[in-house]
Amino acid sequence: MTFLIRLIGFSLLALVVGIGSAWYMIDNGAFFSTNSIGPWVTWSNEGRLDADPYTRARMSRSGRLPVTGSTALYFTASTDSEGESLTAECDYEIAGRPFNALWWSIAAYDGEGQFIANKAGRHAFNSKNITLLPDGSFRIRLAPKARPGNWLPSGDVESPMLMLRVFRPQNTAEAGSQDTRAEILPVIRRLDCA
Amino acid sequence: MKLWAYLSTIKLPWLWIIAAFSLSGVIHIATVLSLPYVAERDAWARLSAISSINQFYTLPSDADNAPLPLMAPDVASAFCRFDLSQKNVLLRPYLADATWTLAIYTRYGENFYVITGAEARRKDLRLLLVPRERLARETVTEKTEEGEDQIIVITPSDTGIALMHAPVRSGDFLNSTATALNQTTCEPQKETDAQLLASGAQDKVLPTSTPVQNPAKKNRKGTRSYR
Repeated sequence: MTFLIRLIGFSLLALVVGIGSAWYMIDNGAFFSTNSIGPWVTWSNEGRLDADPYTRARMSRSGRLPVTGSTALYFTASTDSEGESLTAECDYEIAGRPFNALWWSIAAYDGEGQFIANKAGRHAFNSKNITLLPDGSFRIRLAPKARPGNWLPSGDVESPMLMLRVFRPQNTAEAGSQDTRAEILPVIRRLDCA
Repeated sequence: MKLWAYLSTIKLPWLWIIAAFSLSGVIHIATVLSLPYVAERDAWARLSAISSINQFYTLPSDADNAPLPLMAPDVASAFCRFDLSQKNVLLRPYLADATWTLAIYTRYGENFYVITGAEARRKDLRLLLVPRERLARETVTEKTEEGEDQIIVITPSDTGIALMHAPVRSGDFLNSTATALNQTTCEPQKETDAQLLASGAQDKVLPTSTPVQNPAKKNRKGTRSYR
């Protein structure tokens, strides 16, 4: 009887630790597969033929088809610049300067990576349609209710997330997103909360 | 110290625990390595549900129908799932703008080729997808028999996805841009005269006076390999 109990415990422990740790590293990345720059996270080798196994597993699981690093850079943020999780109960200001790139965009999603339904039908701002301030910088307001200026609706989703796309960057990175400097990425500030 | 004294009185099967952690390492590695091959919701599977092989389709990007996660709401997209197991596939994209992009992926979502309007010398391109193993025994060149330029893209696998991206100013322009993208064609390559000759079907197409080139000699001439 003792042997049977130990065998069951042994199997459960091995499965939970083995699959759980794999899932965690596929979902959250590791020091060798992701690069965190302030609130922005990028998977350094996503979409590449020589990507590490964790990145390959994540791509398969997510169903995304990213273009590789020299052509497009992708950064996601699910926290503000202070490290607090984004929530639809708060307003956020995303402030930065336009990227030196052919095209760039900041889009909002729910926690599953789907568009956030809203009456304005607005899901992103990009280099072609964003309103810049007189000093050439931009400010986007991520908020559940309409705001003046560049308002990006966060709806009523529990954990909104942002994705920044930079297409054909000129000086965003010298050799892919690994070298992206923190100061050129937008700051995400928490403002008012409901 | 009291806690340690208490813990030291508990007899745990340490050998079993160490063995369990060792086995968990094996399970961890097996899970990570096998996931790309068992994932039921990868891009290929999701696109298979809405498309046939060797045809271009507009990728819906509205809030209710987005087939892929984290799609760009301000980028029109069209895709083709290609299958090279029988024949090479010919892609004819039209890159109207510097930001328009054609990216080609393996069946597992690895992006092995990309060309943008900014890099292309002309807007209407002709790309011939050829699997690596077939390249050695086929005649493929960067000039077609009609003298048209074509880019030879050597694919690491028989199946994959070609995806066109076209950034737009706002979602209002998605449909019209997607229609333009959808003019891209993706179809099995028609056999060239040289290929028919090589396969012994001369009487089907050509007069016997047409010179037959040595395929072995011509194979690698003018081909380019892309990452």
